[in-house]
Amino acid sequence: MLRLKLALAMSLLAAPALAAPLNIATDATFPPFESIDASGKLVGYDIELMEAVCKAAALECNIANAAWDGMIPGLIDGKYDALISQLTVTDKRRRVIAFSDIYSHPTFRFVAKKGAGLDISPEGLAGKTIAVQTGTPMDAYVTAHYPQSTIKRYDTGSAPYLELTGGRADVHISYQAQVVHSFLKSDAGKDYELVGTELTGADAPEFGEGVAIAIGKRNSELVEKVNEGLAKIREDGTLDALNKKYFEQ
Amino acid sequence: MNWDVVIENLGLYAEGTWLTIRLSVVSLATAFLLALPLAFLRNSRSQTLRWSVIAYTTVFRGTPLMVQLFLVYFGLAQFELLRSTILWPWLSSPLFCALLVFVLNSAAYTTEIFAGGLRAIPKGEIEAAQAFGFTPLRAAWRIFIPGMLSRTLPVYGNEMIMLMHATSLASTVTLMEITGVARNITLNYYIQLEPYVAAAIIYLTLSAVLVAAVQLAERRFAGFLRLGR
Amino acid sequence: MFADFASTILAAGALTLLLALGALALSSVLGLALAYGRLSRRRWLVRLIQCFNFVIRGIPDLVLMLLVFYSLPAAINQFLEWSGSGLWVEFSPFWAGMVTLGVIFSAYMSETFKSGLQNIPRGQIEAAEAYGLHPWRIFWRITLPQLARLALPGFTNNWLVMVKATALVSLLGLQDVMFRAKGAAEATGRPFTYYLVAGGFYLAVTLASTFGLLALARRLEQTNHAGRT
Repeated sequence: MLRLKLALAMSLLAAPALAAPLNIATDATFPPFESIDASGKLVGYDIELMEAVCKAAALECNIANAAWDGMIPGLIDGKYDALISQLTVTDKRRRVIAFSDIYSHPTFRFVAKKGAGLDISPEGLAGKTIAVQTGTPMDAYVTAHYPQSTIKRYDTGSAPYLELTGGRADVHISYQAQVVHSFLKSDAGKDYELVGTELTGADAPEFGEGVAIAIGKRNSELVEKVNEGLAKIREDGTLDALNKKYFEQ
Repeated sequence: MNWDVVIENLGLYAEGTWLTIRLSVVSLATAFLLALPLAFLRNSRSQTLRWSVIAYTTVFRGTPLMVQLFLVYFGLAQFELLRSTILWPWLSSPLFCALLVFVLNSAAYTTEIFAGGLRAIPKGEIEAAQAFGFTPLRAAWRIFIPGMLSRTLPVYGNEMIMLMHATSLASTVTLMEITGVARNITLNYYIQLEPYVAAAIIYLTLSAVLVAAVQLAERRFAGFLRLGR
Repeated sequence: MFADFASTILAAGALTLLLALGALALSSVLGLALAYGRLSRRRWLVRLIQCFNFVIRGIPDLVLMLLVFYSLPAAINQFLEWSGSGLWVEFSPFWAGMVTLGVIFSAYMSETFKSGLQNIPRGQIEAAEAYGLHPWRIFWRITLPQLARLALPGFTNNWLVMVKATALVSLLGLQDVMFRAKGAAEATGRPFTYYLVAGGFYLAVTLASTFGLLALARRLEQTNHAGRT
């Protein structure tokens, strides 16, 4: 009985060590970067990227799906060793977590029904409904700049599209690559188009500096190793091949 | 400890609490009114009527509230046909969808509770009402409903608390009630302890008030059932 | 494609059932202990358990789960960090869900078991004690068989509520039926279809459980009457 209790206790406690496989979390509701396919498997650009980085840096990685709610707090608390989920590097996040080198510079774009004729300025969208995923840079951006619009927040990356096609939201803003490659190319997105200009960190600080892998602040060793891995896959062309595979127009 | 974040956002919590209270009260009242006639139908002599009610309560009591909520909120929006009807302005509102689901769900449980209460009314009271020549409606209003209510008060009180707790699921369809506020704070401030503890404290307070109210009602209206124990 | 998604959803049914059964076991064992505690002569124990019941039943299941999954490890880790031990805890969504549901429903089970225990004639226990039977034997031979029969309706009810409550664990990221249904719904833009599949699963489980436990109740009644001259 005592042994059972000890075993249970041991399975709950674990000392942090780079020797054990790394717990890497992702919010797999964001195709084509991370999503779950029909058979329940994790697939996507970020997944392949992380696996390549781990291989290049000789790290044993275990990538699992997690609820977006608890990802960043989980990283801060040590529940996860790293996060890969198209996480934008922002000042606010830098205060609580560390990031690897930036591996991509996304642009952000609004998407709406074809012919809706929407003007994406704060005045143009006054009284309209904007759908975003909670706690993302897009959420921060619209919250700060669109006080007269109704902002609806969802806890997954794909729910806003459902609301857009369902007619509950007039417009959605997300990573342009994601909108183009997973929504506009699908059946559901046939009648939708990109509106407004491309937005980046240069247009608003909320959009951050680029996308990187998030790592716990105390884990400076891991940051170095991941950066090594990133550098390697950049050099040997793996990153280019990945970009071609997913984003060749 | 990050309690300063909670203090900063007390206004949000207050708004959330108000929404929780509104959701609970409106759903409870509507479900109550819906369940009263359904409880009688549930005990009806007509097989068709009885089984229709049973089908309704079985489906709504046999599936999770979350599934029902998602079916109505996300699911119905899938149908283009529905979106072009006059129902759409109602169905597109998360508040209406949540209320609809809470009412249907709670009414299912309440119907069964009330039907059980009706069956427990002593035959003597029913016969006395018939002997006095009460019309069915008068008998229902004067004898059956009070008899049923006083007998089912403890169980129904429990159902009221369950409904208030169930409103926390409204946060999954973008409504900012207490739980929604707490989840929002964790996502924007990256803290996990304080927002949920604050939410728990608010719910505990609301539950305590509700329990006290039910116990008061029990003493006042169902006191006669306790005598002679 | 529908077949693929649907089969993935239903395959997660095993996980859902495993979670529910684990929580059932935990809640039954804990609930029985709590029931005995409530009937004990030590007032402090009774009060403590009443406090526990109040807290558990006063906070929504969802909030309790969020507390156990997010807040509890955060609090423990903050403490461990402050004590400088270099250890940390983490709970998987499965364990957090199972333990939370087990603890929540132990409060309800304790109610069910307490009234069951109170309805076992005290004379039987006293006679057994007079015969010098060991307390464990008394429990196994006299208390448990009767408790099983008396508590079965309440037990069934708690089980049904628990099966439905497992849907909440999907919000913690556990890839159960609800989670897979959500994924399928969002990937295909057909939420109604896949939430209907999920609903069908839960309905099947609750119906099967209801009939199964009804059959069990009937068998227990038979055993009760057996041996009566």
